[in-house]
Amino acid sequence: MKITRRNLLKLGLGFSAVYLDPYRLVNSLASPVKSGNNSLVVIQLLGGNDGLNTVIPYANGKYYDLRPRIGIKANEVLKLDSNVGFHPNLSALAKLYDEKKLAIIQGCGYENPNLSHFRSLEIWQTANPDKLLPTGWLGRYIDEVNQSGNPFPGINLDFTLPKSLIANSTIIPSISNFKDFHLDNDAHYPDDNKAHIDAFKNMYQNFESKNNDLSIIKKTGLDALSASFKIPQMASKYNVLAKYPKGEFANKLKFMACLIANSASGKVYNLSLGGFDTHVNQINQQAHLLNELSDSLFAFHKDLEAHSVSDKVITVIFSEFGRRPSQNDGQGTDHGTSQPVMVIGSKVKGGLYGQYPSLTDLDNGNLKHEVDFRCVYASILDKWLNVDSSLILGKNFENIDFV
Amino acid sequence: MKATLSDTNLIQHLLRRAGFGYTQDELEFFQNLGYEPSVDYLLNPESKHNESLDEVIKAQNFDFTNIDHLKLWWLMRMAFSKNPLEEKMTLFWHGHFATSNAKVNNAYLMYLQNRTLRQYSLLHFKDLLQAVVYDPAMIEYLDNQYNYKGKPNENFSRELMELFTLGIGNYTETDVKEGARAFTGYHTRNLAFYFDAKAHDFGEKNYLGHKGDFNGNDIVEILANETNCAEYISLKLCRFFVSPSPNMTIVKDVTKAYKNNNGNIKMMLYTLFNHPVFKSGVSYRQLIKSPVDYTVSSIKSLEKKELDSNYPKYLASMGQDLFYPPSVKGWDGGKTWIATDTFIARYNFASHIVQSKMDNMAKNFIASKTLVDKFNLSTSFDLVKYLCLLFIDNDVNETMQNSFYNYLSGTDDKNGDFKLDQLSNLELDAKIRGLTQLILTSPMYNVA
Repeated sequence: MKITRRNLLKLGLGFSAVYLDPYRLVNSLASPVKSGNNSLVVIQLLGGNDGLNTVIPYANGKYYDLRPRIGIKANEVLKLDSNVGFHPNLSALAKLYDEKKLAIIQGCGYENPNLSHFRSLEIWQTANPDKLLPTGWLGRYIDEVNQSGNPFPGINLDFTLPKSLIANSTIIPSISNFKDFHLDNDAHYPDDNKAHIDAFKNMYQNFESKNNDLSIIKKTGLDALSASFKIPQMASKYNVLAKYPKGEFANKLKFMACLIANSASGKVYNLSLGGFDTHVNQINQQAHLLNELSDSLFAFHKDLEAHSVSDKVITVIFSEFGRRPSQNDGQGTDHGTSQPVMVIGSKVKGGLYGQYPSLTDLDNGNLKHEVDFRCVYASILDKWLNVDSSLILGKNFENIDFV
Repeated sequence: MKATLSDTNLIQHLLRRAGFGYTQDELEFFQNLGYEPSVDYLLNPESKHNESLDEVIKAQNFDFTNIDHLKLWWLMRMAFSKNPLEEKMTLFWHGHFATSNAKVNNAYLMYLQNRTLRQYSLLHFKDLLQAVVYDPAMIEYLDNQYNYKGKPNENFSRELMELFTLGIGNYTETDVKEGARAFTGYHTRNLAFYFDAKAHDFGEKNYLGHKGDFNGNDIVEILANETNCAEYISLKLCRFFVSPSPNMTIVKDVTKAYKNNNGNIKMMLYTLFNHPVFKSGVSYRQLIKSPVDYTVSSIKSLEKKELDSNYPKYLASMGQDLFYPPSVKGWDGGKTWIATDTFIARYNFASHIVQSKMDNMAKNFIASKTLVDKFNLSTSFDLVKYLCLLFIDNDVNETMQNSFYNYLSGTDDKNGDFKLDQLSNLELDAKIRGLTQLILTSPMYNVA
């Protein structure tokens, strides 16, 4: 055994030390969860995006009565039809709408809306407003279709795993920082790294615990070992074929496009954009976020198109709730209820679906919902992911024709 | 799982939960003290001088308007304070009254809030809550700055009940609105609380079944007296200190301690740490370490006397960026700490810390040659046992032990009888650091 101490700076930061099954990750990414199936991207707008200033009922005078200071002027709205239009900063998404690749399902919500960020998000993620389920709707989908036990049936790009991706059968990997997604070993002793990795692997394979939390550590450790090293390599080799805006959200979408282009289809992906809790000074904050959302998603879609994978992917965008129709005194809005959900994809039947909620017939100052959000999920499950939605949602929901 | 714990294991367990692990000196000190006096010691920070901590901190010349300085300052407190429970409770309250500098954008206000949380960390919940209501960082974070009579802003009022006191389901939307009215005019000015009388709604409110011209103090009084509040805070403490799904007997007893002692936090913790459920094998080494626990316990076990300024960045990658909780709900903890990328961050922190100077490891003895000589570690068996005892209470199964032996010897070494003197000093250094890293990245080290 020879170990030589070398200068840290001379080393390729441990990349030379990959002795673990280098193709395990690539193989599992490359194997479909369910053959011939499609992929789904879910974008969460955290904080409660104001739906009224996203898809704006510009022809309704009541809207301007409710929002004398934060209403978007009719002449600035990007008109989708004679009643509603997009926020002016959603011009890139308006292009996709014109290309018939973007569907808007208006007035999505559920009975007895909950105005807590956390509970309402949980309801959307678990698809059950009545009781707290241990698994998410996408997790249950994976439990249903991932019979082969593919270790990468989906990938979460957020920092922590959302409830939507909690499955019984597996733990969905999280890769929020793909640049640092590699295991470092002692750079002074590169010749020892193989022995070290072998021992680490051995240790994890032989760990047993009755404690469920500890078995999560075991599974995660082994996943990290197999996924590390290859991911940053894959990302650095990726040929980006669209112009993404700056920012973390766009960077992550770019990485997601890389994963999608390098993987088999039939997987689910999750990513969030936060900051929508606009209790005060809403105008600038939301405008900024919508701009980031719109330009990033547009680039993402064009990138997928250029890689000829856009036929196999749809992206659904939701928030935990919409906001109060009436503005507050801080030029913002408080927590509300129903909201428009957007779906983007080459195979999406673009257009407006559902009814815009009434601005006069309110429930305790909030919008009544027109569409149960689970109808959107059911449509995706039945028609896009090719699985019986009642197995995932517990009962049947009406399908909507956007896909 | 052990049914009853040895005296040593019990002290180790207490120091991991009520603190952030231990150095060998600290372990010895508390072992000599005994369990119950140790609990009393930890619960009474006011009676102890902390000169060594004060000195270390003074030498750093921290700038409290710089958030990076602030993070390192707090990490130093957690690593070197004689009152680890005080710091742990400050961390608990930081996660409970979660306020993020991402929005506040003022390190000095975060510093003031941190001092307030520490000051009240072990006093009465009502007084702590009162202090939080007047805390400028909180007011900025939850938009109470914009809460005016007429069209109140509900943000603070809602989270006050949902997350800070009662828990979801124990109030109505009307309570949210009425509570918001009571906090109108609770603003900030010049980095301090400012009561804007013109913006305050002095009218009658109907709140949680009470009627009156309530202001913020009245609301705090009402909330702190609610049974739901006692239960909610007790459950949260048990989740933090005992288990993510704690046995209900301990939750009930801690709740009783809240009710019988007017919300005295110290009495709640006294009940918790002396409770048979906490002291039993059911709780021992079953809680996933938070990133802060993981980091600070490593600093302590490795006897590091200096902290790298990049430690807070590792903490952030592990999912616990101090002063930047992910939302007003704080950190969920438990198994949510573990995801593929946060796992990798833990691994890389371990790799980083074992590569740093380890001169102080194991009481001032230089790792490698001096270490094995001092502790008479002549075989792979001796070394594995020494390090497993130091880091994981020797909680290691035979197969894993074998993989450690094999790692040290480079051959099949089932009994651990490989002689360490067959290694050159350099090889021994590599193996000791490597084995330390393996143990720090083991599943067993990830639990407290």
